[in-house]
Order: sequence, then structure tokens, then C-alpha cells
Amino acid sequence: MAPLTIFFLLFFYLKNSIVTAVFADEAYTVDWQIQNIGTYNCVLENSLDDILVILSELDSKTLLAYVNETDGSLISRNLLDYKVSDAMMIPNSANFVLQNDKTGKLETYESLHGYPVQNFTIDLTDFKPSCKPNLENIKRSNELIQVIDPESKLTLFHAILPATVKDIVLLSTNYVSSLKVFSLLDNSSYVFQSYNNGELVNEWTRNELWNEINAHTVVEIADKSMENVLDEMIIENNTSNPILAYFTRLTMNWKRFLQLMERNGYNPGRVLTDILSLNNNEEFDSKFIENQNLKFGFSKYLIVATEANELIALDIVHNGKKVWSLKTKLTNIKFLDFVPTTDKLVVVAEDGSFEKYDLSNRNNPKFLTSGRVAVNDVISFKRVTDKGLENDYYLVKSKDGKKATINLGGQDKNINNSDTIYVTDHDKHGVTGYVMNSENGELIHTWSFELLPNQEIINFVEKDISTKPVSIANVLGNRDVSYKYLYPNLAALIITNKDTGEIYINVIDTLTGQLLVNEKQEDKPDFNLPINLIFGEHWIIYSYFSSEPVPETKIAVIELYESLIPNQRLSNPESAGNALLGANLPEIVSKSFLFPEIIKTMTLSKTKFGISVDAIIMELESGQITFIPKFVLNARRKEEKDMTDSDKKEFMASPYVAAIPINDHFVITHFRNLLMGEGSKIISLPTNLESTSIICDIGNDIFCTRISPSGQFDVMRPNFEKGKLLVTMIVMLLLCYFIRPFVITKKLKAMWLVKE
Amino acid sequence: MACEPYDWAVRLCTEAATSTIIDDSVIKSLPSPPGFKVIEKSQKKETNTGTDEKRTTEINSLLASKAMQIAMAPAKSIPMNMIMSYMSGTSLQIIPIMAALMLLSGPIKAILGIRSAFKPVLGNKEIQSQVNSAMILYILFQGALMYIGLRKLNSMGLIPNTKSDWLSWEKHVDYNKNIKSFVF
Repeated sequence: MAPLTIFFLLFFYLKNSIVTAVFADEAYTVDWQIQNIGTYNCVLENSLDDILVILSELDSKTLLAYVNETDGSLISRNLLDYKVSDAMMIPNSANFVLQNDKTGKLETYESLHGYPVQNFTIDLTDFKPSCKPNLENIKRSNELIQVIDPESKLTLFHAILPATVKDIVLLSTNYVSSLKVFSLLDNSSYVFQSYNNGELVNEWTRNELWNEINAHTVVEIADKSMENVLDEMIIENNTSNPILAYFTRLTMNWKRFLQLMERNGYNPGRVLTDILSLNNNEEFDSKFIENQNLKFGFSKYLIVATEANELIALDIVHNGKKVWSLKTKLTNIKFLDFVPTTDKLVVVAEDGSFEKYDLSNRNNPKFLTSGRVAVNDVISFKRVTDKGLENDYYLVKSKDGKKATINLGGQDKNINNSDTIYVTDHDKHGVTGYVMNSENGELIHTWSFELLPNQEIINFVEKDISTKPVSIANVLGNRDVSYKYLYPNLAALIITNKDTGEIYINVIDTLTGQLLVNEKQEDKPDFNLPINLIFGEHWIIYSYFSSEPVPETKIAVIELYESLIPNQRLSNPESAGNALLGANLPEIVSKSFLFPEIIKTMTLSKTKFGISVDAIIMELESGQITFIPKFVLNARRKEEKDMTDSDKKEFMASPYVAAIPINDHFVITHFRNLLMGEGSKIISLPTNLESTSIICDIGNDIFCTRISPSGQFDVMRPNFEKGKLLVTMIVMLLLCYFIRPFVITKKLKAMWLVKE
Repeated sequence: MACEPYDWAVRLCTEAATSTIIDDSVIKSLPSPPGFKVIEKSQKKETNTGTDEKRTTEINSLLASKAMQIAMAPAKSIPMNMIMSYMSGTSLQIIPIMAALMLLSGPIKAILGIRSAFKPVLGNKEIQSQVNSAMILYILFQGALMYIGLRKLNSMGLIPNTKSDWLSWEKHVDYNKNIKSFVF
């Protein structure tokens, strides 16, 4: 009976809470994608079908993009396996020929669907490179472009191009009446113009915002509407007398009620419709949604620094709309850092020069200062957030391994911080620990973790301690607890050994350099494919592709516990306080799983309080993004025959099955086709809704969506059950003030034998 | 709405009503309704003391068995409650929770009202000891019922008797007091 009950309970729980699929009404509205083409190297025109074939470069390969000639909309994109040196459109056909940069071989594709054409060969001698627009019989003087008759050399017709044209990428004319010009403007957008007898008949622009994104940061738009409520709550909390506090709340609510009445002109009908949220005015709706987005913390700007040293702010809520862009004077921007407390945006370039902007008005950045730090070839930049230090202090690391503490405020103040600052640095060959001199900010070497010559660190992740753990232990099925290993100063690293073909997974203490976990994988991991590593609350997850025993992607999880004996706690909250004394060694449990696709990048979902189930978000080699809840990758999962009744009662416990399938419901990119390129990065941004996290994948394209790993448990309709509540209140009032006295008199009359 | 009493109610106590309607002679002459028996005022008194003693012991034994009956009453519901609590599972739903709480509160009320439960057999000094033992049994059985309720609540996880119930009160360890760590 009991197992059956548990089964049904689990079934219904799973059914109700884990349905996190992308629903039809959310697809393409909640998520958005900026499909980037990049710099146009070559444009071919299929005039039969009105399609433009654009060739650009991505990861040293050629990207083919098919664009509708009439409106400039992107039809499809296709990344080739090779780089193309030149191309040619076959006259009077939909096919085009590409020349391989390395082999010089020609390959034919058709431009309608982008398929390769097999039974079509063209001789090398017939191949006329046509990537460079043919400007024969064309006369151009600044904006004026004239088409000249090849025979009579007279001007047939002319067209006037925009003033900011930088380059022409396509020019086609029939030397009779039509002229099509596709040109690059100063602001890196491309404009297509079609002229008939010198008259403009069609024009559209494509904004290729970037070729490559160098750095990014996220700026939250603060919700001012809640400040009043916050102030009220502070007043209420500061009132020590509970009766007085209650009275304060009562008066505040009364004031709010009066405001509601005033807003609706003391009209009871309008007050009621306002309360019931029945106003379906469109204008009201969009404003209302805007407010809700602010309240829920969805309103954020994603700021990206492009290869062209431009900063572009994209509105995450409004489908990645460009809010503003500004050109910096820096070259090769490496880091963007937004300081929420001071509303400052710090932009740092590779050569150590930096610019500071004021973003108090999120829609209008103001230039503050610029300068240069005495470090060349900056490769890493970290803000030192400490109570003793201003937000202007940064730790900088240069390419040659030099580290320095710098103050972007300009003056070299002494660092009089009360905390001891430890810095851990790593490169391919080892990890080194430093302690900062509290007076001059100098780093003093403390420990080193060195590798053998044939070993190499390929992945290094520190434990993120920005969110405080919600609970210090896992609750087991029999309501016992297993204490998590929550020592904060940890980093995980993956080391490859090229000679033996093994990988080692280590966890080290970043203060003392002590090795806490040392695991090994000998199943022939492929070093050429991505090896990912993430550090969660008390666990690490890593993935790699291995060729033994079967070629398959493997995801392994290592969980760290204080002790594997239930209810045994080794850390002592009273006596601890000095991390330098070292924490107890963790005890580990690990499990491996098989995954059907190659994982390109991996990240961990972040929510405001960390109560929701953790989700491991993965970008797959196929261009899809999916996620797996952490409870699926649970190291304590057991074979079904080994599970006891109490094991089954544990939260989301399920028997260990090695293979994890890709569940269609968890593919958050649904029908979208992402072309992220190498070095793409997934970020997870918490919102004010604990259930919801914004996920952005930043690479060649930008894709953003929202996920709720535990279901949308805190999302309610704005008019949540208000009708029912009001009806109940009215019924109760009726009962209290009308029916009850009526019944009482009736009873009394009956007692006195009074006829009505 | 005029409030007017019924007509017969108004005329119930008037002089005319008493003099005209209620006529003693008429009532007396009427035969008694079927099953109605007039109790004779004079009764024969038993004089035999031997039979009296026998009667007292009989009454005492009857009272003692009655006391046992009262004591056994809660025992009869034990098997039913056991089956009920097992069958209703451990899921947290309002009805099983209410049932389990009733199993807890019922016995407490019964024990507090033990004197009223045993009222028919109290006051007889001769069988006091037997009644007392019956009362102890009664309390024991009520305790057994309570135990079933407790077991049920425990199986539903509503009794905070494990480490996990007090987890939120356990303190986090602050390892990084006066320490900041940065990792490149």
C-alpha cells in the first residue's frame, strides 16, 4: 500500500511540478534571439528567386546566410566546414559556386534551400571570382552613382547613396533600368537599395551589431515602485510595540484604500473593477506588464562590448531591442564591470586603459573618466568588494602572470581594509596562493600546487559563494540528515595527462592549497572535445567525451559531505571562524551518467534565494540548449534493488539509471537554430521571482529566455481568486449582519409562540 | 408585520377556558390509553434479609461487570483504528490528519471525563477496588488509542522528533570571518 501511495504521490508531484516545457504561448514571446551574420565578406544575388546569399566568417569557417531581397529578412543560415576564398553566382540559375580556401576545389550550392548540388560541375577556368562587386561602367563620385552604357559611354541613369556609405558589397544592374546596391554604412549596418530608372523603389537596412562579442555585463533596472512598501515595512519593523506596529500597518492600509478610492473618483463600480483587475484596456495592459516586469526583476539590460569597441545595451525584456550604443576610445575591450552600489560601468581594454561611465540613468550613459593602469596585456580583472575598500579597487592579472591591486579612482590610496585578502591564481601548469599585504596591496606568495611536465590544467572553477546556502544538510528519506560540506574557499580543477590519456579531478582549499578531493577518469577522455566543469553548493559536476567503453559523453557528479554517517555533524558553529585552521576533510559520493550529445558549455542556474531546484544548463554541440535538474544528477542515487522504503521517500529520489535522455520538454531553445560559435557563454540571472531565472547564451548569436526549474510556483494571475475572495467576504458579512440576527429573532418569536 | 400570538395560546389561561373546557369528571370517566398503567401507591415490603444480601452481591457483581464493560469499550475500537490508520497512508491530507488528531484528543478527553464515564458504577464502596482496576484498564486502552494516533502522526512526519525537523535552527559556520578570497 505504502509504496503504491508513494508512487502515485511522486507521479502527481512530477506531473504537476516538473512540467517545465516551453509552451506554445511562451515560445517566441518570452525568448528571443539575435541572429547575427557578422561582416559581409561576399554577397551574391539570386535574381530569379529574389534571394541574397551572404558569406561571412565564423570561427575561421564560412557562414552562408540567405536573406530575402525584398525585405531583408533572414531565411536561413548554414555554417560550412571550411573557409571560402571566393564565390560566383551561376548566371540564370539559382546555384552558386564556392571555392575552398585551402584546397581550391569548387563546390556548388543552390540558394533556395542551401543544399549542396551534387551533379553539377564547373571548370576552374569558368570560375569568375565575383565577391568584389563589378564596378565596370559605373561611375561613383561620393554619394552619386552613375550607370554608364557600355557602348555609348553615356550615363543611363543615376542613383544617390546615403552619405555615410563606407563600402559597396553588392552592385548589380541590367544596364537598362534596374540598379541594386548593397552597401555598408559607417555605423556597421548594411543598406540595400533597389532603383528603377534612377528612382528608389525598395530600401531596407540590416543591423549587424557585431562581429564578435568581447565582454558582457548585466545591468538591472531598479524597481522604484516597491520603495514605498519597503519604507513602510522598515517603519513597521522598527516599531518595537507590536500593537503600535499593527496600528501603523492599519493606518497605512487605510491610506492605501483612500488612495484607491481617490484614484477611481469615489465610484464604487470603478473601485470594484479596479480591485478585480477587469480593466482590459490595451494601453493599461502594456503599462501594467511593464510594471510587472520591473517588479519581478525581469527588466535588465545586457551590455555587450563588440570587437569594434562599441558598447551596446540590449533590453532583455523587449526581445533584445537595442537601447543605446556608444563608441569607446579603447581598443580590444576585455572586461565590463557594473558596480550596482555606485551605478558605475567600468570598461577595461587589453592594454590596461579603462573608461568609466555613469549609469544612474540606465537609458543614458554618461562618460565619467578614463585612464590607464600600469599593467599591460590584462587577461583577468576582479573587483575587490570589501567593507574597507571602495568599489574602485581591482585585482588585475596580466598575460605574463603579474598581478597587481589597482585603484581606478585615480589616487593610489592605502588599502586599509580590516579583512585579510587571499588571492589564488592559476595557469596551465599549476595553482598558486597569495596573501595581500594590507598596507600596500602587494601579494605575498604563500603556497604552490605544481603539476608534472606532462600534465595540464584545462578547467578551473572556484566555488561561488555569493548566495548563502539555504540549508546546511540534505534531508534523507527517513528524515535523518546528511550534512553538506559547506567550506567556502574551494576550487575545482581538471588536469589532463597527455601521456596516460587520463583526467584528474581535484578540489583544493584556496587558502591553504590543501588537496581535498582527488578523482581519476581512465576511460580515454577526448581532450579535443569540450571538458566542462561547474561547482555548485556542495558538489561539482563535470562532463567529457570518452571513447571507452563506448564513445559517449559522460557527466559525473561528486558530492561533498561532512560525513556519510547520517546526523553526524563535524563542523562546529561555535568554535569555527578561522578558515586558516582548515576545515575537516570532506567525504565524497560520486556517480557517472551517460548523455547522448556532446556538451559545449555548461552553467548552473541562479535564483534569488537558491530555494528552487538547481538546474544544470547545457549548450549542446547541435546548437540546442537544454537543462537537467540537479536531482537527476544525484550522486546518492542507487540501483532499484538497493533502495529501501525510506530511500524512496527522499525528495525526488529515483533509482540510478546510467543513461540520461534528452527530454524534449527541457530543450529551452525549442525550434530555434542557434549559431553560437566557439567560446560562447551561458549566463544565468536571478530575478525577483524565486522560481524564475533568465538564461542568456552569448556568442555569435545572443539567445535569452526564462526558465523555472521547480515550476512557476510563485506566479499567480494578477486577479488571483479576487472574485472568490470578495464573494466569500460578502457572504460572511451577510451572515454576520443580516441572516444571523434574523434567525435569532425568528427563534425568539417561535419561543414566545408569536405568529408572524 | 404584526406579531400576533396563536388563538389557542391566548385563550389558554383565561377563566372561561378553565371552567368550560377542563372538566375533571369527564377526564376521570374516560378509560386510560392503551399501555398506560396506574401505579399502585402501596407496595409490599420485602422482609427477608437473606435474599437482600444475595441481591446486593448480585447487584455488585453486575456493577463490576458493567465497570469492566465500560473499561473494555475503548479496546473494541483499537483494531478498527489500527486498520484505518494503516489504510489511510502517510500522505499529508486534511482528513487523515484530522483523524489522527481526533485519535489523540479523544483519549485525553475520555481520561479527563473518566468519572462521568464510570458514573453508573461509582459510589459503591464494596466494589470500589474493582472499579478502580477497571478505570486503570480504561486509561490503558485510551493510551493505546493515543499511541495509534501518535504513530500515525509520526508516520506522517508531523512530530518533530528527528534531526531534519530542527535543521533550520542549526547555525551556519562562518568560516570566512575577516577573510576575503579571490580566485583568478
